[in-house]
Amino acid sequence: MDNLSDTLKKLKITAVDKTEDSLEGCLDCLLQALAQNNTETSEKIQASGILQLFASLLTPQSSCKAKVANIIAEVAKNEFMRIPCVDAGLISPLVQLLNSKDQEVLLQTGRALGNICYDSHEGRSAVDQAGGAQIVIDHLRSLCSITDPANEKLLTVFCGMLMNYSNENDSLQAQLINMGVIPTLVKLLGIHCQNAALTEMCLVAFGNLAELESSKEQFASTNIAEELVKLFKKQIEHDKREMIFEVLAPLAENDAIKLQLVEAGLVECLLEIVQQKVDSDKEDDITELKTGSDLMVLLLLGDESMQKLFEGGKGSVFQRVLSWIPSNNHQLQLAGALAIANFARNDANCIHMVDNGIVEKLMDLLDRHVEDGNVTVQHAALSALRNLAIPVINKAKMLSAGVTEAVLKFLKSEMPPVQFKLLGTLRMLIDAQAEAAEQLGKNVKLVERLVEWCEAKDHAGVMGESNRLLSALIRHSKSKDVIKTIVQSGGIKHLVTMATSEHVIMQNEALVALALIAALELGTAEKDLESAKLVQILHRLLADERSAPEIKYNSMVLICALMGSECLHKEVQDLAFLDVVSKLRSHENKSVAQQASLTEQRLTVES
Amino acid sequence: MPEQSNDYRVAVFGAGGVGKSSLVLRFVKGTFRESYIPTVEDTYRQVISCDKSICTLQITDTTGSHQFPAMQRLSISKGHAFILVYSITSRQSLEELKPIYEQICEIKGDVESIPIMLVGNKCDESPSREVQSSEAEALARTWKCAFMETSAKLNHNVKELFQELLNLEKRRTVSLQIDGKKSKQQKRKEKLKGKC
Repeated sequence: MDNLSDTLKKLKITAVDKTEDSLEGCLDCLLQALAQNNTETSEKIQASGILQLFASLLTPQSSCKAKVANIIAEVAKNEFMRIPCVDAGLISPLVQLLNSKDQEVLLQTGRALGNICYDSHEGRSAVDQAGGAQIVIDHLRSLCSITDPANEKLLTVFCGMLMNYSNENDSLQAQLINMGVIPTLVKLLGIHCQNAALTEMCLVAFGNLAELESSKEQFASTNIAEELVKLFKKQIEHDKREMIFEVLAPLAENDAIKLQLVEAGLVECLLEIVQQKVDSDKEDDITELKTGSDLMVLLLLGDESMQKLFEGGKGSVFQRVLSWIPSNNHQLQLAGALAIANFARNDANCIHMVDNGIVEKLMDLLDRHVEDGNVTVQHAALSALRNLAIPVINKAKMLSAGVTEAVLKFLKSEMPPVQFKLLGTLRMLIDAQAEAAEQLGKNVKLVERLVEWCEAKDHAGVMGESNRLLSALIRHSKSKDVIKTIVQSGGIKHLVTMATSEHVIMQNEALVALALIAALELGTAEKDLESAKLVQILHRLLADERSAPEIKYNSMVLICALMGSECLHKEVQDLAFLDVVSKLRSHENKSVAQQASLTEQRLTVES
Repeated sequence: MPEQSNDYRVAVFGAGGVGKSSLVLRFVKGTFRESYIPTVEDTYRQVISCDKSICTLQITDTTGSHQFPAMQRLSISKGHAFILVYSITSRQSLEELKPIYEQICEIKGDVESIPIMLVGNKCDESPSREVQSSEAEALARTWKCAFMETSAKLNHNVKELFQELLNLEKRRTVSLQIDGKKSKQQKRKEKLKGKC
């Protein structure tokens, strides 16, 4: 290390004189010292102030430019050296050297720039200003089909440099994409698939770019899906597979790429992984099982890819996924249930699956997760049942299979996602199913829980679904007993509040339910309706120009129905209903105008 | 009604006119539309695992909220992540964020584990720029938070902003669509060191 001080001193003099021979010797010394102890040598280099002299040694005429670039590449492995390299004005001459024809110069320059950009904002913006990226991309493009080892090494370094340059920096990633780097990288991956280092670097670079939304369209127009699947099939090492997964996952967010991946046979690979890893308790295998089955679900989020894999319910993929549900592995159960939930995205698929016994499988799965169950599995299975309950023809079948009873076991759940899907499933099931609606509507435990959840302000979804189910129980059962149960449980005030929801659909559902209450059990409900200020709310809805026509119409129907109650009638009289209603006689919507006339007459007669 | 109600609250702060609402609107109307627009349609739904939360966004005007300090405190104490928006054409709007940041520190204590993003919006209006990105970056470094410039108008970096914010979440898995991005980035970093 004493030698090093001497060398640095000597270098200071020779660098200025540019006496070539001794200069070469000094640089070799530095490289040797760096190889022995990079950090310590780098500290000394910085302290010596020699960095500033390097710029003059990086000119195209300099005979030692490759060595100097090599030294810079080495020192820039240290975080504390990166800003000093930028401040010493090294970026611009380095970028100039990227125009060299000499392979060694290109290699060392690429390394130097890549390491300076590593995790360094200053490095990246300096390279950006000097226009380094475009030159590197041009090189990649012109060199990409040469397969000799030296060239492949250079390509690897260039890919790495672009990766470091754009990592965690969206605007630089966008810049690379605009420069058209993606097709070139995909081409590299195809040509050099035998070269592990280069392949790996390509994958890392992809992973970096794939996170940007704007890249996906470009990726979709290349054969990346095919190349990645080809590569994946060859990999047996866990780490390599994980790397490919990391690229596949963000790419598979794009629906076009989903379909390409399915067509390239990715699903078969994933199924094989699951088969191999399902019984293993090794950590790597568990991770891979999760990544593989998660990706499988992701592919099913696309409509086209999903339908292709369903193959009329006879596809081997569908069959295999089905077999995951009764497995003993929670991850597989989850993936299986999520897959079914996503296959259940159109009537034909839902009807086919219900006819072929999917409901029993899902109920068995739910049954295994009642006590201390896995929340994600519960949520997934309930989500599947919710979607399956949408086609009219499935409702009766699912009801007679006992789905309501199975689902109600989760009424005690404190997990909002589970509550949300439980409510959704019940609401889909009772749609136009009077008997089921009546049965559920008389279930005091359920109704009390619904009323409780109507106040779950932290969970808008649960709150909304509870309100809607409450209304649905009344609308589909049209049962006095159901209304009585809801009144007793304190549900009326929620239905009144729901009439002011931001969603017209919900407003309307509330008004229709309230109209049924007024028609069937006004006496039982009048006190609650009064204290919930229903009449005032109706007045506001009618006076508000923004209310939808159906809201105006149903509010007037409800006003008429409420006149049967003495106390509510009095409230109607106290507010200036006649004014707002008579204005509505000229409403552009004919039904509203007509109902306004009728209501006006009623109000006049009864006043 | 959100599809899933695993609440994850993002509070958006910024002076009037910096484009908070347009940013959020851009985001909500953008590619994540399906999962974000509250919907009451009774149609088929895509289903993703419920450990991947959906977030709700709460926008607070720093100019307006001076009148309601309690509201501001509430959004901070209930917030899981924070977006501090200024306009690159107004130094004043950046200044106004400082007391907000201080209040976040005061209420939340250890802010290093909380996702905070300093956002310079209107980067499409570069000619009338008053705040250089390097300045804001430096501020972000002292605040130990992330920084990004966006243009709600051009839809530049908008989705990335929200994605990045969620990537900063260290305590739980929060994701817009798929999880694991953060750990992925870290892994990748480790892999790359010294590669060049």
